[in-house]
Amino acid sequence: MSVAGPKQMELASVTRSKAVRAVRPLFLVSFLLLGGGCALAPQDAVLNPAVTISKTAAGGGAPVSVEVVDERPSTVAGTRMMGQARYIGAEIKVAEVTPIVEAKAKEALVRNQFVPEGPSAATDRKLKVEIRALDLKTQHTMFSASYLPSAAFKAVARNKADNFEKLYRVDFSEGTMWYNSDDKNNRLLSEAVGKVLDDMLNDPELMGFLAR
Amino acid sequence: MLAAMRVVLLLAGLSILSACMGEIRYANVRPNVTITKSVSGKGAVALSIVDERSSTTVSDLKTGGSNIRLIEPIPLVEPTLKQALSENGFTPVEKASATDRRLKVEIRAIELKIAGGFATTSYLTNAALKVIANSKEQTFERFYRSEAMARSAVGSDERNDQLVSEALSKAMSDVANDAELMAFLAR
Repeated sequence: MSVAGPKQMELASVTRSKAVRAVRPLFLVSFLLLGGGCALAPQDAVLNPAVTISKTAAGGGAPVSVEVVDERPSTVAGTRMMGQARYIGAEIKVAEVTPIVEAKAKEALVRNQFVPEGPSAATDRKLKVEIRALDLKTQHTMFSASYLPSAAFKAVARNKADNFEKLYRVDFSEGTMWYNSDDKNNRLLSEAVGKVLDDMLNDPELMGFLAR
Repeated sequence: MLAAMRVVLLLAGLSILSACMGEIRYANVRPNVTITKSVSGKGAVALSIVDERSSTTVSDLKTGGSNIRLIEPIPLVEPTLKQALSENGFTPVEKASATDRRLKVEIRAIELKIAGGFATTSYLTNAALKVIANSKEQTFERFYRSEAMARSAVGSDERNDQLVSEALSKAMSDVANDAELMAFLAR
């Protein structure tokens, strides 16, 4: 058995520190790559709700002022999940719902023979839609996931001195064996909005109240 | 031997289960708001604050840690709004008082969503308040929402409380310093 002398030990120490210096950039690059992979990319959801509005002559040409307000507690509908590692945990944002709902509400009023006006118009009849919630929750299990889209809109209507208030809410679930693509997230959120608008804008009670 | 292994397996199962059962922690929320005077109001304003959150849970268990609850948010919001009214020259009074001016604040949400990423975790906080003010038969309604996102590899109870406090402070500050709202009440 040979014992290393002071010169050999010094040489070994120099070699070790050289190796450490060489490895350091590798570590740095690895961390940067990891960090880049973790740069969570949010999805800006695009809504395209399909609503079929039945046609009536209930309105008889009466003007109705329309106002839509976004009262969601958060613009984040949910978070992206499994599949693409760099997207896990990134938020799914729905920044703008108001213009879509307003356009559909006005279209529904026209199809019921009302004349939609702006929110500040001096009319006897008013329709205010409060967007209360739009969410896409996910539940994971070991091998599959469930997507739970939900939406809640409140209609606050006024006709002369009378008031009408109703909350419309939908929630459903869809299971998947794999992660959802952006398109699928968009579709589920659009379906939730479409269903709740369908319920509200085809509600004979609401249209009947405005037509009185 | 078999019996010993059974005991070991049972203990292992129990320890895994206990690790998965999130304990409940009550949030220590401390909002901090700076109020700026915007009008020279006068007279009494009946102030009411209601908790209209859909849940007392601020954050549910997703990536480990505790379920965070906040049972009573009204005492956190009320002093700041009373101060805002006083700073602007009004006298805040009880909800049932006979006065032309009323200010109702609905606490709609105080939330912290924790989403686990590949190597870091996202902390999404939001708070939402709805204001309905009445002054001489006119109504003013406005929705105030604050949202923020922080990312961190390591979280802590203190950090969670701080994030929730910041979100609530921002929404409360928007209400307390809303010059349009104060001008409406001062009409």
